[in-house]
Amino acid sequence: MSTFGIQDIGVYIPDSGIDGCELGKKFNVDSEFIHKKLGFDYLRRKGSEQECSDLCVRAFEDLTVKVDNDAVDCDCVVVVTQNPDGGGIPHASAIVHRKLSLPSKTACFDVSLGCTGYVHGLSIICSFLEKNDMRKGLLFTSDPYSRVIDLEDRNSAMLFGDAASCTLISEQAVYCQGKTDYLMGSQYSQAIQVSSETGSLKMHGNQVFRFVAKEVPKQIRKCVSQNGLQMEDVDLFLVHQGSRYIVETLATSLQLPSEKVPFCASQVGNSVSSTLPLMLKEHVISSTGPANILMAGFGVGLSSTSTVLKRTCV
Amino acid sequence: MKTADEIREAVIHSIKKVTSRDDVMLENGGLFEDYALDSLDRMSIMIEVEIQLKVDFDDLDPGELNCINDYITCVQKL
Repeated sequence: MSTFGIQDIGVYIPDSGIDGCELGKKFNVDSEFIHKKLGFDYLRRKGSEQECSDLCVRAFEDLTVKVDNDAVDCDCVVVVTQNPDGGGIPHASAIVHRKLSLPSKTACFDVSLGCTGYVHGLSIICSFLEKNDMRKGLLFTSDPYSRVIDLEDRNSAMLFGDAASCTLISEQAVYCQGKTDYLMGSQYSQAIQVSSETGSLKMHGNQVFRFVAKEVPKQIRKCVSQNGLQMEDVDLFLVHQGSRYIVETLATSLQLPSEKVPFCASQVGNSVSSTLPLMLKEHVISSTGPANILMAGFGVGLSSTSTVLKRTCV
Repeated sequence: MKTADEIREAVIHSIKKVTSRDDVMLENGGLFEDYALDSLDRMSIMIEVEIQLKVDFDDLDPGELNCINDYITCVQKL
């Protein structure tokens, strides 16, 4: 296991947004379905002038409230996004680097992944820091889907919300990442895609749900075993917040109580690669956080990635 | 080939599991829509039926399976 891990997390959730039930009226979807099944009562929206990098900066500001500006002296910045600033050149991490006035020694690169991005990103940045004898890194997630959502498309309009996170990675880790399991279902690569014709997100919800319901429980069990644990050894299962129904389906399939597989995104929406760090934050700052956390991201690809986080200071 | 009774039993079992209902009174021609099963429930029921009967509906839209009779017809064609 790498000596690098999660030291702290900052997040940014925009104040403004759209009422899920109001949006549902447009599609003749009743509020009970919105609340009990989709689960998103409120969908956060960034300001029209805000770009991916601006959300990263706000998440960084939340982080530095707690860990002071020493975090600025970082050796590496990774931004997980599929909706970078402008047309994508330069990379979002370069723009974040400029906006935060980071030192010139800092390596910056983006990772183009959706809902599995945080788990992949942790593995990438920890390995990168170790390989290059670095000390600190910042892992950002910022994927403002409001850029690509077609508000007339009932399959996606009621699901996504904007948010961002900034995770400080160092050897003063509260949680370290164990073994990670990766699964690719590229035969369903069209299930979530941005149309080249319209520039809007298109989702085949049935394919996504089938993939998640059938594959993710198996992967989670496999990942727990790969880390030398039994299911009962895992204190908390943080799964991607695709919808309340998906989270509850996974809990049922894994025969776990809902407290162990929480749904926490009702006031944010599905914020893609940010759903996991948004939930993880409270456990990182708590002095009594869970010893073992299973984290699972799944979505675009279609792909699924599960890992175990082990607390270093139980 | 699976019999109509086997398929009916699998569908009823799946509805019970997905909706957490103990009693499911549904005729073979009774519409799922009238039984307050929404699109997500029907997706889950379809997956559960696949597991129960060891069949694969592949990319079939669960919206095409509106009652138990539809399941019987579909499974027997597989």
